[in-house]
Amino acid sequence: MNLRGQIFETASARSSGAELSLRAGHLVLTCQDDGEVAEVQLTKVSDRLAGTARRLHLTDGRLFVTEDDKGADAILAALGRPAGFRVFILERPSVRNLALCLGLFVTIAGGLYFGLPVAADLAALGLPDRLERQAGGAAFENLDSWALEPSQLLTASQDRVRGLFEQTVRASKLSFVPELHFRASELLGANAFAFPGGPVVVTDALVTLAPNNDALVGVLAHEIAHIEARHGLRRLMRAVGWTIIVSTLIGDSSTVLDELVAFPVVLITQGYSRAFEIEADQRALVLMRQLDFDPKAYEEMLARLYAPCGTACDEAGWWSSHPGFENRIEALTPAE
Amino acid sequence: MAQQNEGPSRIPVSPGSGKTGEPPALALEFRGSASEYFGIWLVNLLLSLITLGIWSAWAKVRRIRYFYGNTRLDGHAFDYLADGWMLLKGRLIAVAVIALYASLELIDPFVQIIATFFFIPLYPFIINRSLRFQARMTVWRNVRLNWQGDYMGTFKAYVLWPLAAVLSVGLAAPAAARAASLYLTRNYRFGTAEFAAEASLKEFYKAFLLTIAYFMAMAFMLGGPLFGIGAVLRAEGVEGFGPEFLLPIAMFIAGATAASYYFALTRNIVLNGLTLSGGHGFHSTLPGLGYSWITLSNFLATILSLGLLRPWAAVRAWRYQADHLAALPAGPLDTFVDDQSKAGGAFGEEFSDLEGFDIGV
Ligand SMILES: [Zn+2]
Repeated sequence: MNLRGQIFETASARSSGAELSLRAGHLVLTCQDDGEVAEVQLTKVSDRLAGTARRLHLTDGRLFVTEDDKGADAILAALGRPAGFRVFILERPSVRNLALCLGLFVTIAGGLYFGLPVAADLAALGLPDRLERQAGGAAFENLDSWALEPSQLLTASQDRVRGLFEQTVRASKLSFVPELHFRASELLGANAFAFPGGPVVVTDALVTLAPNNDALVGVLAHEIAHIEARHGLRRLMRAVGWTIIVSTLIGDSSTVLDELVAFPVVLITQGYSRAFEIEADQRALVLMRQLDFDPKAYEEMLARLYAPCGTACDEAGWWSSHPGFENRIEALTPAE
Repeated sequence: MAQQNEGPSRIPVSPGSGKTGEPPALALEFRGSASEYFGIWLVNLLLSLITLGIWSAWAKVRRIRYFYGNTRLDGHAFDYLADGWMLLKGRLIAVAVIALYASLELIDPFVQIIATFFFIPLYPFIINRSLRFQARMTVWRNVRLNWQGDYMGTFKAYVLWPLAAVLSVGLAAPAAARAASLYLTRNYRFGTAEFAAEASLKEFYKAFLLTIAYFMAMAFMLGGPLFGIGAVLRAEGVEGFGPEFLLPIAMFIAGATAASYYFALTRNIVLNGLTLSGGHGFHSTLPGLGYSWITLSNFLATILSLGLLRPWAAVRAWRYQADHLAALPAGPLDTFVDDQSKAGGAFGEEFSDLEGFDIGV
């Protein structure tokens, strides 16, 4: 059993032709230049990888390099040494491997498509409430510092909305009453949003836009539904999951253009966001009915909220975080 | 089986080098193929997913080893000596540090701001560790590269100079790029052999101006049609592809291809001014237009194939770079000796990797 290659002196670029052979269970090195014949021992051996030379480090510091992978494997096996990672078998370009890999790929892709949301949700639900509320509070303070101004609403109407809010929270499954903040914002217009674990923010314009208490309860119930189902945190965890996967996928080069490939993650998470909006709408209707408010008022309120945008917002695009007006009404109709 | 009888491929000395009586240039030779790398890439991908990312450390080793190991100079291949365990350890520490930093925001944004100020002075240290690790893991002919930059030098090259470039509204950018490249290359060692680097400031400014012209041409060529398409789609009632969506994409592509154009031009300047002790030189002829085209077409192919052509693109870009680089030896290449200094842990390398720094020529 002979292995042809080159021997490099310790820490040196100088090499000469050499041969490793196995004689009576001992590894013997024969150098062509000076005719040296010596018994040697191996330390580290590099893993087999297509097209690359095998590097066999000797205990005396010298390095034996060979292109003969099969020969090297045979000698390692005869010496009873572990052969290192055998993944090269899978890596070979062959029809069988390609079929195997593509089959695995489809299985994994399918598993991810259905499994990742479930796993991310489990991770989100496993996080302590306190952490979620801290995150929500921090995000609120951040937004508050640059986009929101103090409310101009009269105390009386604030108290009225607060009363409706607390009433709705009691009907929900929440075990705590999230904070409710009134703010004015030119940037955000008539709007309400829920941060993970609270607080809920209602803009003055929204309160003014609502024709009656029923409409207000609808909007508040929608936001409470987001907190109840922990939508914010679940969306975040799902985004984290996909980011990890996509960055593993594209981790093999680094030009600026590659940053654009992270785009799919945004699209996927926007899809989740739209699904969560529909879920919150449907839950809002259930809460409204439970509290004897008129569910029709919620649809009318949505119509008022979408009115400034016109027909452009009837259908959601694949990049938007919220469903279009018609998507939402459609999703609400079967619940009637 | 053994290939040591296979002679190195020799290309004639390029007329541009202008010296006479030197031995022929040695071209860098890349023997990899897209189909071979496709298997490695796919298996890496699958194993990384199955192991929830743990395999990615070994994936990185196999990917780099494939490219290094299939690149030969004078018949000898390069190699990458790191093993997955080293990278995994570095990566775990880096992930822990990044997670800790991110979670500071939940506790108190103010604490995070303070932590950021403590982080900035650590960056040169991390960059040094990363460059040193990369260098010590790269070997050719049993002699490893080394990198010996010090804290203050790195601070100047990678913090102060970029700051000056920003403060001068980009006017000092070529000077900053030159300073960083010279600093980087002068601190490399091949074993014990030192590198000397020269690069004229004029050439850097020339490359910079050419890049600005390139960017404007690209922005005009891409921006015009995409703006038109956006306007037509808007008129047809197709929402979401309006000019305000398509125009930034055009600008982004123009900017990114201009970046690879600049990369190619400056790489040539730096490598052509580089000499390894003993008088060995390098000859880099990476065409700016050609390379930026490779980058752009690779990007489009990757997107349109939903990522499946990525291995092909990676091999193509690497081969293009290797094909345009040659060594100009001034004598025998087997006289180098390695020194025994340690590589250090992989933390700096993995941290830089995760944070997306990209340092190199
Ligand atoms: Zn909502």
